Amino acid sequence: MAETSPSATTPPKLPPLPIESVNDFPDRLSPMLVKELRQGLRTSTFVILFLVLQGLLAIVLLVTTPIATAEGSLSGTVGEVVSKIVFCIYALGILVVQPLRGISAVTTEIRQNTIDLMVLTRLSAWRIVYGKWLSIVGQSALIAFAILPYLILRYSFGGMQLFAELVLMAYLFFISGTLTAITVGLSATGSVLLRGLVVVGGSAVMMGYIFFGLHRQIPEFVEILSFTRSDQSLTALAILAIAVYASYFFLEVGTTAIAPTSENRATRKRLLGLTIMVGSYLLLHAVDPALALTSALIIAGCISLDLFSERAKFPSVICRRFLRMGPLGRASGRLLYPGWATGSLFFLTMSLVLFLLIFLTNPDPRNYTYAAIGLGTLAFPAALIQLFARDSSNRFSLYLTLLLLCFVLTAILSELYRVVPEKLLLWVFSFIPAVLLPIAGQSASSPDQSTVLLVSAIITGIYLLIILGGSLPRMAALSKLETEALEDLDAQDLAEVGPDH
Amino acid sequence: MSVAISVRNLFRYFGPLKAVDGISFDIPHGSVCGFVGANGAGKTTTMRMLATLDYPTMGSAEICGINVVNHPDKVRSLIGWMPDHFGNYEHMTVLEYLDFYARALGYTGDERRSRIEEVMAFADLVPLASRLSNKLSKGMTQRLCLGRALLHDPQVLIMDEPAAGLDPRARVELKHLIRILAEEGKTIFISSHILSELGEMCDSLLFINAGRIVHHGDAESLKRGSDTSGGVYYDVQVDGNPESVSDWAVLNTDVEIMETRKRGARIRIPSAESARAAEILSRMVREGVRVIEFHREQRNLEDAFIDILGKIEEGEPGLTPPPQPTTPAGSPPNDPVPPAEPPPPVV
Repeated sequence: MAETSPSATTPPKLPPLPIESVNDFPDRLSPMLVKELRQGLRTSTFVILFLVLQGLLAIVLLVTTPIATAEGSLSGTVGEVVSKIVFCIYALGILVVQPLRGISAVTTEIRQNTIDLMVLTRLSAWRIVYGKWLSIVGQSALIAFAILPYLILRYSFGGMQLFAELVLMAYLFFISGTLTAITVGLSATGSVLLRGLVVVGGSAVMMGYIFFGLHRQIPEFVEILSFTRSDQSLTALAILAIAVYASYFFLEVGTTAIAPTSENRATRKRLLGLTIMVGSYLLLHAVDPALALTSALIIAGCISLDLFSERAKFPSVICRRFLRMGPLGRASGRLLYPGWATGSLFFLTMSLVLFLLIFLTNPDPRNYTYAAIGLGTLAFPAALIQLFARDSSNRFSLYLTLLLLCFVLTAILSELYRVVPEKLLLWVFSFIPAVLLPIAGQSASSPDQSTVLLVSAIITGIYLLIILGGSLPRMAALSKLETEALEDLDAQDLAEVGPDH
Repeated sequence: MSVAISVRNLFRYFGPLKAVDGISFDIPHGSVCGFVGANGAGKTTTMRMLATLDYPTMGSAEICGINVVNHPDKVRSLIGWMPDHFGNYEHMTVLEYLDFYARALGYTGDERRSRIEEVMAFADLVPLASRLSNKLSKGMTQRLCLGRALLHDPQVLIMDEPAAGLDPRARVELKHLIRILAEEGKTIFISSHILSELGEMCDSLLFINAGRIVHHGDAESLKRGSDTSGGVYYDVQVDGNPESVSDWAVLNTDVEIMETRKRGARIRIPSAESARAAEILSRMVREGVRVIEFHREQRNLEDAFIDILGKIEEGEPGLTPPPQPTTPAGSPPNDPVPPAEPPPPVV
């Protein structure tokens, strides 16, 4: 068949559509993960980080190998040094750079108005946030795997606990996942100040720790993670468990910020948080009561962060499921409906549960004191917001910033108290109950113990009264919302019964 | 004809700001409805509520009979949404962009690929397949956005200012695509500032001002209907200083300057009688305006819109404020919501 030459009127031939290129990731992967990986693996941050890590590690090994070979018996010491360098570089990559990439993850979508487009698809808010987190963690995993050959090379230097060092690597990776979850979650909150604080403060603290603390602690960590001492191993596992919960919690923070208000995310979060708090306390109590109380208070802190900062408004459709359960559902709604108003009541319940746990397991007055101090410190920013910034549009950032300031002030005062043991200094600032910790930490026979318990209990009680008092008008609004939901339910029932009936 | 979009007493307050103030309207299936209003009139807020991205302070809105607040997921499968502004992703090609949304909409395997191919062919995106999505021109970006909105073949398209910022060619292309979609029977709710274009495309026009609907009807009836009430328009061209028409009109209050032009002005005479126009022309000439052309012009939609706004300012009966909400749902009107920050995507 003779070929015909294209005429002048023939439209230019278009290149074929490279449609097969969209099969680079299988369908079973989350669309968010596919999108983020496609974008993330091409970003200069990841590419530069990956190449710089490889370059640095290659240089370190090239420099140390001849030394180790020449000095023979000293190769174990050289190996240890190499281990420290490898872990510091690795930690810098996955504990600082990678988590920081999450700080703009959701904000960028909100700012560019692309979050709306995603919300309109079948992607739930959770899948959006989770996908963003998973993508960064996936890229961190690539970095972790790229480090492995260097650890294997370092093995030839001798003096290496292979299993423990691999576990340490995994452990750091795990912590990196939690830090990434924190930044991804906070990226949805909309506070530039808070995100700036995380970027500047968080990375400074983490880098300081890596360069001045981690390298000294690596042998200790290796020992702990070789699981030879059960108490230390339990602490490590407890930290991991709290890290898992914290990861979930912060991803939920991001999810709640972008989820439709008709989606009730509060109930599950609260019940899950409370269950984990009780569970971790009971599990850890048998081994280490102090660790049990500390972990319970950390979890309570996470729950409070959410309780006191949820937006109070939600549509009546949320009440329907509760109202279908009758009076019990209606009553539980007062604790489990979204919003800081019901959150205040939940905080009171959570506090009572914690005191009950202490009463049942270890009714030492010092435990009550620690619990009162912890809960009072968590209630303090909420009371401040209730008094001075009730209508704030970003309660989350405000609460978190105030809480962080409390911790910073507590740390400063504790250091001052160590240098100049003047109790008056702490009593003056006792409106932040945490500053009383140095006095509470004194011997049980100290006459100040009962005073600290009394003062922290009174202060916590006052804060609770302020918070609950402020939430009363909202509680009244809930009744209106429930009436509306009941009307909707009646209309639905009528529609289901049909016009013939 | 059944109703595709139904809105009843819809309110949306942001603190003291009444963005949408009790609007009601119906749009039948398969029709194209233009949504007209000045900046800040409430167009985007209304459209966002219909798109389940915001939720009303009070009132109801339904898409194909499904309530947007109570069943946002069902509504989302029925609508395609084109926002007035949005960013595209870095490091992602046009093909990958559409693939992401196709995956997010639940398409897999061959169906996913065929949906992508179909919308790319429709929106003429095939030549752009390998281009980075954030490196496209405004016109290309709008075509990409339209392609994305059509991926799940929605029954209703809600388009917020799709022609804003487009060059004439891109505008013609977009208009062409919208016309094809309308012929396919899709219901299209489109907002724009370019009233003449809306007039050509739309079966009906919905005028909104300060959160209230001030007119709902087709373009022709709007133009015709106000022919008698809104006066008659004339193009006046002069020899010499074009501002002489405006200067003359300042002293003659029965003539209104609508627009100054290169060689004169467009004026409005309140009466449709030819004798009145003749009298005004002779007066202009007598008083020294060197008129070389004086001819009647068709009234356009901008004129009609300005007339309607004028009537509102004069407080004409029939354009009365809507009832005030008494039992706001979910979001009490006195609850301040920061106007500086866009509301979170809520339903």
